[in-house]
Amino acid sequence: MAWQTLGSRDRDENVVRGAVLIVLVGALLGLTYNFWGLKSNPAYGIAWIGEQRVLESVEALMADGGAESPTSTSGPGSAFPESDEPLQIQIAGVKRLFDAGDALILDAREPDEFEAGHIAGAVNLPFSEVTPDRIEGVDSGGRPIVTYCDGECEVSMDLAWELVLQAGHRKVLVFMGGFPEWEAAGYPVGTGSGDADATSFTTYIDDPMAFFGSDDADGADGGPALPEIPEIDRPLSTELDTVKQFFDAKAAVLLDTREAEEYVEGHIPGALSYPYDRVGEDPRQLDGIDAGGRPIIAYCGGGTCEISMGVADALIARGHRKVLVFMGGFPEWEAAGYPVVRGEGPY
Amino acid sequence: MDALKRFLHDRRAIRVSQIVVGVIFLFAALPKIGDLGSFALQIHNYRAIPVALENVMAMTLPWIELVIALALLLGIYARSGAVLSAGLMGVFLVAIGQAVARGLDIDCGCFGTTDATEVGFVKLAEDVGLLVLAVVASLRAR
Repeated sequence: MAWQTLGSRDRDENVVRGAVLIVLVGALLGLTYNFWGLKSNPAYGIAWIGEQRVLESVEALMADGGAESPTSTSGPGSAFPESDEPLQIQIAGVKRLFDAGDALILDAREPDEFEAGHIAGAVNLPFSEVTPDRIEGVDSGGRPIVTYCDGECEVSMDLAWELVLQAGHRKVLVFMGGFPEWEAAGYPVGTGSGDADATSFTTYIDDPMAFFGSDDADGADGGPALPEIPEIDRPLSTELDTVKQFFDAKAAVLLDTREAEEYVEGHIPGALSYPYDRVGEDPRQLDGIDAGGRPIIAYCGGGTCEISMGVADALIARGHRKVLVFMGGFPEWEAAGYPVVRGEGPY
Repeated sequence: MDALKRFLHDRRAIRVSQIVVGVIFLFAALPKIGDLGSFALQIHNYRAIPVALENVMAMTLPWIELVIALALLLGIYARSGAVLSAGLMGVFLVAIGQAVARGLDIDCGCFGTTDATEVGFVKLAEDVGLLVLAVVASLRAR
C-alpha cells in the first residue's frame, strides 16, 4: 500500500514537471519567434509589451502655446485617469468640471424629461435613441464625458458603457446622483430643448474654436487661421476639426492609408491612396509626395490607427516633416457629414 | 457507472482523447502563430487582462498550445499536456463567459482570424465539450 502511494506521488510529480516544461518551452519559443519577427519587419512587428500608442496631439500643442483658453487640456478634466471602464463621479466633481466647462455632459433621459429640466449646457442623448452612429459621433474634444439620469438609474450607466465599448472613449464618468441631486443642490438648471439638443451637438463638433478656444486665432479674413504645424521629426495626432480646416483651405496633403478597395469605396476628396501594406513593402514610393511645405495628414479606418501611424513613421523616415495622423480617420469624417468621393483617385 | 469508469480509464480511450485534443490544439495554434497581430487584437477585444500583458500573451500562448499539441500527439508528457489543455479550456471558458455576460460583440479568436465565429453560447458549449475531452485525456490508465 505504502509502495503504491509512493509510486503514484512520483508519477504526479512527473505530470507537474512535464506541465512546467511544456509552458516554459512554449513561452521561450514564442518570445524567440517574435524576436526574429521584429527584426524582419520593424513596421509591423509586435512589441514586447502591449501599449496603446498615443501621439502627442497638435491641438494640445496649440492650446499650450496659445492664449489662455477654457478648453485647454490643463483644465480639471485632464486630471481624470483614462480607463476602459466608466468611472463614477460625485456631485462635487461634476460641479468642478461644469464650472471649468471642461466636460461634455450627456443627459441620458427621455426628451420630455430633459425639456422639463436638465443640468445647464447638457446635451440630450436619450439612451432609447442611441444608435451606433450617434454614439460614434460623440466628440468631447478630449474632455471627460459625464452621463447622468434620474438618480439611481441604469440608463446613464448603459450609455457610459456604449461610449466606452462602441466609441472607445476613455474618460467616461457616471454621475450617479443625477439630475435630482444637481437640482437639490441649487446648481444651474436649463429647461426646454433650448440650445442643448442634437443640433448644438453637431455645432459643437463642427466648431474648430472648441479645440483652440482662443478668439485671436481668427485670421485677417475672418476665418479661423490654420494652426502652424511644427517641423519636427515625429508624427503628431490631430482631430477632425483641424483636418477639416486644412481640407477647406486645401492646405494639406491627405494620405489614405487603408487598403486600396476601401479607398475606392469612399475617401476624403483629393486624398492620395497609400495603402500601408504597399508602403511597408517599399517606403521609397513616399518620396514621390510633394507636400511643398504643407502638412501631410495620414488617416485610416479609425480605431487605434496603428496603420496610419506606421505610414506616418515611414514618412518621417523618408525625410518628410509636418506629419499628422488623423486619429478618427475616415469613419469620423464620414459621420460628420463631410464630403466623400468614391472610385479610383489620384495615387 | 463502473462500466463508464472502466471505459474512461481504458488506455485506448485515453489515447484517442489525447490525439483528438492534440489535433484541435494544433489547428488552434498554427493560425495564431501566423498572424500574431490579429491575435493580439482579439485578446485586446476581450478586455479581460491589462493592456501591458496582451502582447506577451499573444506571443506565448499559441506556442504553448503548439507544444501541448505535440506532447499529446507524440505521447511525450502526454498527461501533462492533457492537464494543461484542460486548464486552458477552463480559462477560455471564463474569458468567453465574461465576454458573453458583458455583451461584447467580438470574434472568438479561438482558431485565428479565419474562424470569424463570434463569442456566444455555441462557443461556450464547444468549449465545455473540449474541456470534458481534455479531462478524459488527463486520466490515468488502469
